[in-house]
Amino acid sequence: MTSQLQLRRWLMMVTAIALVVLTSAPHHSNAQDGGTTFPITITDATGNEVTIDSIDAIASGSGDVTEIIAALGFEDNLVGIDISSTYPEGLLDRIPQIGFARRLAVEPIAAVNPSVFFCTETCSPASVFDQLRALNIPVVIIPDDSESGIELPLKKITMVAAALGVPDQGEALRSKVAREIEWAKTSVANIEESPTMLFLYVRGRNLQLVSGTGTPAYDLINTVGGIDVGAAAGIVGYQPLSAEVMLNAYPEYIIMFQGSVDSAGGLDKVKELPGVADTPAAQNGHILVFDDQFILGMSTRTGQAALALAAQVHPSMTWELNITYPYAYTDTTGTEISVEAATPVFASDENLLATVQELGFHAELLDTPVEGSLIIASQSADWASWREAGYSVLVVNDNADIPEIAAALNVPGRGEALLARKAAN
Amino acid sequence: MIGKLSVWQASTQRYSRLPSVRIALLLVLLVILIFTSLSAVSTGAVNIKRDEVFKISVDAITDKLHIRYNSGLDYAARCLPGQSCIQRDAALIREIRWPRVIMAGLVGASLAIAGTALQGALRNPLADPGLIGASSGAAVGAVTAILLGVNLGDLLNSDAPALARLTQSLFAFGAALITTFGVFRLARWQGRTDSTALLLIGLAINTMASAYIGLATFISDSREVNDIIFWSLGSFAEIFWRDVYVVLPFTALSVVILPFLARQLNLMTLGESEAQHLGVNAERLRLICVGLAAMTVGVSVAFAGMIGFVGLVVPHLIRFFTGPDHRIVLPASVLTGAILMIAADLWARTVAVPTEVPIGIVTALFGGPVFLLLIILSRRGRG
Repeated sequence: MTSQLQLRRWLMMVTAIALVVLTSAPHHSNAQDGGTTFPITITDATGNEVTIDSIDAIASGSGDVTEIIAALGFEDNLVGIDISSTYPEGLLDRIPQIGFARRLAVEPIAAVNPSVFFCTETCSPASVFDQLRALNIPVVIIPDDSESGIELPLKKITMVAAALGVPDQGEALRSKVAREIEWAKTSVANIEESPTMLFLYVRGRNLQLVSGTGTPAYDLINTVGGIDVGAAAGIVGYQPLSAEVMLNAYPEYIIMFQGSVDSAGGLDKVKELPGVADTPAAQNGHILVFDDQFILGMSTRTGQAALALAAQVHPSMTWELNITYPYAYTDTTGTEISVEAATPVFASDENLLATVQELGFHAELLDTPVEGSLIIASQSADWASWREAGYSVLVVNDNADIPEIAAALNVPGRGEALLARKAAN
Repeated sequence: MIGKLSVWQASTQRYSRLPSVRIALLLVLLVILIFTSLSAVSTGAVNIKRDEVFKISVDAITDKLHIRYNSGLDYAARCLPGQSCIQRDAALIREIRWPRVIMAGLVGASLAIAGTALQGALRNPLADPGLIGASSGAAVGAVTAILLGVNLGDLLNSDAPALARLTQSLFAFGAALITTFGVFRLARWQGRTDSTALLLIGLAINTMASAYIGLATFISDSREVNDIIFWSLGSFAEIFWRDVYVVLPFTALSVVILPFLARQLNLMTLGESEAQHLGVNAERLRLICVGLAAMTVGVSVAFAGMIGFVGLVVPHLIRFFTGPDHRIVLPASVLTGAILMIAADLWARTVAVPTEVPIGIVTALFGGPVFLLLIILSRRGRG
């Protein structure tokens, strides 16, 4: 018996040495590029100290966390995900499912043999975490509180990145998402109207809830300059839908999950729910339907979600939605630039900045280029070095006219309108 | 004293020794129980070979394999490709599956024996631990703890989820005792307890309790709703050894004490006044049975939630095969309750992997039709 024990210890030591050698070899995965060596110990959202030996096999119990793990480049390390992990698309077809974030069970998680398990504070039942710990599977709980508001995705990203040993990549992702959220906020900053909105959650015939304060919907509605009439009606958290609640709230816009609409049996059936038909939202066709995880997942796409919502509820800025991404533009240097998504625009000089802003974009003067943003530069600027550094740079002629700038930003119609307005003045 | 002695003699004469057929029945049930438990321990989302399951289970006592886990230092529980998974499997079988299976057995046995004792003592075939308010009282206590956000952890400066569950369990247990004795007290009129009134009052209390739970689901947020579903439909998904240690003594108390009352319960079937004449203290018998039932069921519900139908159906099922002699019905219902609950839980956790079906749905799904069938069959037998 003793010899067996010693043999096992010896084998462990050999394995450990082999692991150290392997991880210091140059061809290893991106996980250790940041210089972090495992095991790493972090304090998670519940205050537990978690030691993570390896991130080779990650199980994620919540869609928002899956999204962040994938965005940080660890998609291939995922060995199990919950059914709310709908983004990136196709993950659910490739990776074994381990249940649903709100109804987890220990064995399906253990069955995928993870080296670490991620979930959020709202995952339940929480005793599953204790059971996983009994199986020596490290459990990392990511914050999911209602106090953080629209900043919640940033907190999530920071903790996931720390647990994966890539704080630098985490910081980059964090600042990208923060910038997108900021952009959504500034896009609506000068708009005076405050549309009234309500989030309606439906699961079949028996469960219809409207939300109020302390919910992701409340935070999102505030971010886009709307008024959450659920919160205004005094709802804290969620409350069952009734005709009275709906008419008291009287929203101009109703936000819904695609999943809710499907479970209700289509938009027509949604309008048959108590009180819904009598709201301005239903009468004007303003029931806005979004993908569940996209709009309220509070993850890497929250800024984009806020912008998409803002574009729908502020008709004066709907042109932004008319830009189809990605689009390709061949600029004045003959280079074809592919613009992937709506991002803040950085302009190389004051004149350019003014035109870009007049065209309705949220833009800033280029100081130091920020990763992931779009730069519009005049030919005399130092565009070559920025392009070399890997940024998307649209180069326009010095003293470019409005049509050229508008074309570069894929809003030629808006350019013509601006020209016409200037001519009229 | 003389009277009591003669009653005892009369009853020993009336009931001769248990026929060996019935003892054989108990042995068969015991074998089925062992077989069901082993199958349940060997089955789950994680695929572990049957012989390894037995090896690990036996090793928990003999410790020849030197399986170490949960130390986090000497051995990693994780099974890497091409390596032995014995640590992980051992932890899973010993820390997750065995406590779960044993708890299911204990709760099934508790509910079934409580149901048998209540049906006998109250002389009413509808008496069910749920009907006298023990189950719903426990659920009300737990839901109250959830809604008030009471947590022992706050007192102890710890936010371990186990403490929250323990707090809810204590509330459940306390409320079960209060409700049951409340029901019992209300049914007591001029020093006597009216069985029909007891059931009707239990029914009224149940209605209020389910209204309260319904109200709670409406005013709570989505996370709390999840906890409340647990209390109203039951689950064995969150069972640890520490929970088993709490429930075991209470179940054992009922399983040990109640069979001693079998003869008195048999006399009660003759009618309450007849039993009184034969020296049975009907009032005291009822008090003991209801007290034990409330206690056992309260503790069960506190850890496994409300699980319906087992307490009602199992006694009927046994009586259908063995006849009404409590000396056989009581022990047989202990074994059968355990067997059925373990099997139901096995089904609940494996039928829809990766999710689990609430156990209360499973017991109602199977218990309902079985109950109907029993009623139809026994009617035919009579007619």
